[in-house]
Amino acid sequence: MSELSHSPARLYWQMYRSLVGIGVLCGLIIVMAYQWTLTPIQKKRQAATQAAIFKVLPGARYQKGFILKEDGHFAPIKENEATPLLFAGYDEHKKFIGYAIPASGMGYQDAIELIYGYDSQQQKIIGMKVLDSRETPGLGSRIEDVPFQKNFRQLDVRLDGKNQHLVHDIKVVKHGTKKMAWEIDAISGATVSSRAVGNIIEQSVAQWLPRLRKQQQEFSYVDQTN
Amino acid sequence: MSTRQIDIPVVAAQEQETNVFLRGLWQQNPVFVQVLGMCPTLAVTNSAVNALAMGLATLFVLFMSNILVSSLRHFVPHQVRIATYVLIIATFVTSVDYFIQALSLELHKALGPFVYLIAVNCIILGRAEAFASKNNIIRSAQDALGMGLGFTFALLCLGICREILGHGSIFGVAVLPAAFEKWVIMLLPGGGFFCLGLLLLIFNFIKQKQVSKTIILDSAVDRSKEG
Repeated sequence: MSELSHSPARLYWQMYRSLVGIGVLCGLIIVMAYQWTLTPIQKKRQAATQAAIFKVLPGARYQKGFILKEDGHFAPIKENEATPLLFAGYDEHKKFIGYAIPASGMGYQDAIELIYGYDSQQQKIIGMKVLDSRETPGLGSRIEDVPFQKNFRQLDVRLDGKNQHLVHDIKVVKHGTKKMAWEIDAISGATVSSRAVGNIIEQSVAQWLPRLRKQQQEFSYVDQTN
Repeated sequence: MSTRQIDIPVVAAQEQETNVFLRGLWQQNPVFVQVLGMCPTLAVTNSAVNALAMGLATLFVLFMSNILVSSLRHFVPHQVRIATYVLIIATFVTSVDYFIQALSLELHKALGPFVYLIAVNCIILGRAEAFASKNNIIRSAQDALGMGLGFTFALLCLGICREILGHGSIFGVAVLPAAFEKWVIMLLPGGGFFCLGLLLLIFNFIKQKQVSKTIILDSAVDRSKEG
């Protein structure tokens, strides 16, 4: 600031010089920070996704991400190539077990992101994990706790004969009144959050299951590159 | 006469030199005295770990931006100074965001958007404008360390109080018996306000006691002089 000049041309040059110079310097710093942290961040992310998949698909030892191609077929993707739409899980003999499907929707305060495991043999949801949520601490945040998670160990999502609609819609019922295999026992004091989770899963199930049941052979192998 | 006039500012400047660091930590504590940066103070102090991470992230950004602003102070024209401060601060905020992700995804998730909001934390812009742009690098670094640690200290006080009452633990280690009924309100925004209010009360009470002590001492000295 001491070099301030009274000639306009010189002042403009000084302003230009400092803005561009500092911009370039800042750009360099950001690129350096990004390069340094890229590998550890990717490793952490992969480990977190893998852990979530193995949690919602009990018995899975291998997993593979899939995307939906424009021709309507599913294709496996290599790691870091793209964000997978859903994952297939395989046991230790590389036999197909089921799907792990990420889903998201609006919760009580903010979007809830979750992933659930679908066993196509039994036509059941066999696991669910909340990946990200900002529900009220102590109330809605209990969607991440074990008692509520138990709802998703044997949740009935059978499709009708034409493989198009659920035989029974997923229903969120008042706490302590769950009787049927397609019902979700709500958390008392957090009905909105419980319903939100139910809706997210129901929408995702309606969207994916008919297609997945028809095209299951596209998942029944492990790509050699894995 | 002339020697006295020169002496006083020199003494004052020396006193300031030693106190630059301590001033931010206590006398001018950014949270308890200046009441700045309330958004992260209230939002992320629901556990001690979050509070510590937020405090250290802010300390890092404050330290680096103060050093850079101070070293570039003869290079930047007055008219574009704020734009360059914002650019510098945003750069270090972006870097710190990557570092936190590399350190722990859980922590990054817990801090949420408040990491990015460090960029608009008025403590940092305030120190750049009020201090770093007018002082040399060493003094700016001292000032950043003092202010940053003062901010971290304040956040930790809040974080520890709220975690004990809301979770019954400190840094995730249970300290209260399981029978203790957790105060969920302490984890919610309301609890942040309660806690901050109480801490401000305590802090100001201590400060006032110190001040009144010095006033009593000063007046006693004055009286003895008069006598």
